[in-house]
Amino acid sequence: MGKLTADQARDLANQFHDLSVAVGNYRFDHWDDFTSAKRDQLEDLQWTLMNYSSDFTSQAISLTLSDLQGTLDHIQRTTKKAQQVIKTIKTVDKVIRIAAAATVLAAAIMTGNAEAAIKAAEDTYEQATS
Amino acid sequence: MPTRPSTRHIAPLCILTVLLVGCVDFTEVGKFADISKSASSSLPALVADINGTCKRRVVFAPTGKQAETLEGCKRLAISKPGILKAQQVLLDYMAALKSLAGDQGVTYGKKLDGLSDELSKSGLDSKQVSAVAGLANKLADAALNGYRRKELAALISSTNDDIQIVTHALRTIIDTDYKRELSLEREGSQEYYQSALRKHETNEPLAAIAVRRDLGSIDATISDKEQAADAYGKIMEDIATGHQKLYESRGKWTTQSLIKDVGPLVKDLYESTQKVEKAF
Repeated sequence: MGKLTADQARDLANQFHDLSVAVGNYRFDHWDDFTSAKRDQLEDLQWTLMNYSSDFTSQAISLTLSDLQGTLDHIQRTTKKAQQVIKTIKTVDKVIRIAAAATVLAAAIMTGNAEAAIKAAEDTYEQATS
Repeated sequence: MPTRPSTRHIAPLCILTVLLVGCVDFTEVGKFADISKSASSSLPALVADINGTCKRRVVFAPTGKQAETLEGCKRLAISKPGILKAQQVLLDYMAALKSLAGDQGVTYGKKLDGLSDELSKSGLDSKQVSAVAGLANKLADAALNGYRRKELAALISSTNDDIQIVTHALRTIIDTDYKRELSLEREGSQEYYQSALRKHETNEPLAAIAVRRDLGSIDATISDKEQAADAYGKIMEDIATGHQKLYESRGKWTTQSLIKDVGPLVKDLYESTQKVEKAF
């Protein structure tokens, strides 16, 4: 028999879960019909089925995660690239601030006000270096 | 005969119009991607409970079955780091998407606001100050938004298939597998307490009341966790849906289209995250 797929393991987990529930219900529905030993035997069987269900769940999760590995690697690489772009945006932001400050400088020069132009030049420098 | 406006007069208007039309507000994308902070503690706690529910079930197992059940829990625990890693990769991606969409990465708005004060000292009158500062802001907005839009579109385009796969996988693990484990915990507790009631209720009616109360309390806790698992599934579904919509509309984003596409999901995501936080 070949290896199970994640979906097959999940299907088996469901089936064993439902079987264990059925055994539990049967045990309680016929409680007074059974001897104590028979009830214990059914209880053990119920727990065996529950544990099989849980084991198939473990397999399903493990197989799902294995299948996912390449996809996760690609997202991680892309996320790193995006983080680099975010750093670049901060640089772009700085360039734009310099350009905007230069607009202000030009406006001050056009007024012919030397004092304001010097102040604006200082501010341009400050914008560019902050 | 009306005078024809010269190209010299029309050109600045055209440029401004193009810039303004090109401005897309990515606030909704930022809000959509903003699940990482609130989810950073509650989602891992939920994932950790896959093993937790199994361990709680051990307590209810008959003595002869406890070791076997505990061994199963150990096998289940092996997957925990892998699920947490897959989830963290998704949350990191969403955090990057949020930063790229806006508010944290770039501070141009506030910086340029200060320019108005400086302009007013330069001898320009208030209308001129307002015009120059406003134009500088619009230029900065347009340039950065254009850049962001290009990079966001590239990011979303490159990862959409992967995001669909990962969200589907995480959703299945929590929505199906974890819930099945919770159901086993409920079955184990029912089996344990109901057996005790059947055996001793007649002789010990007062103790039976306490047993029923305990059983009710366990059942309520499991129900809360099942609802949290459903909410987790909804979070994954909303991420997948929102990302798909952004992918399909890339290249033709407008502020209105983003609000329409991802706006409703923002509220859903917030509510689902709150539900998970309530249980964990």
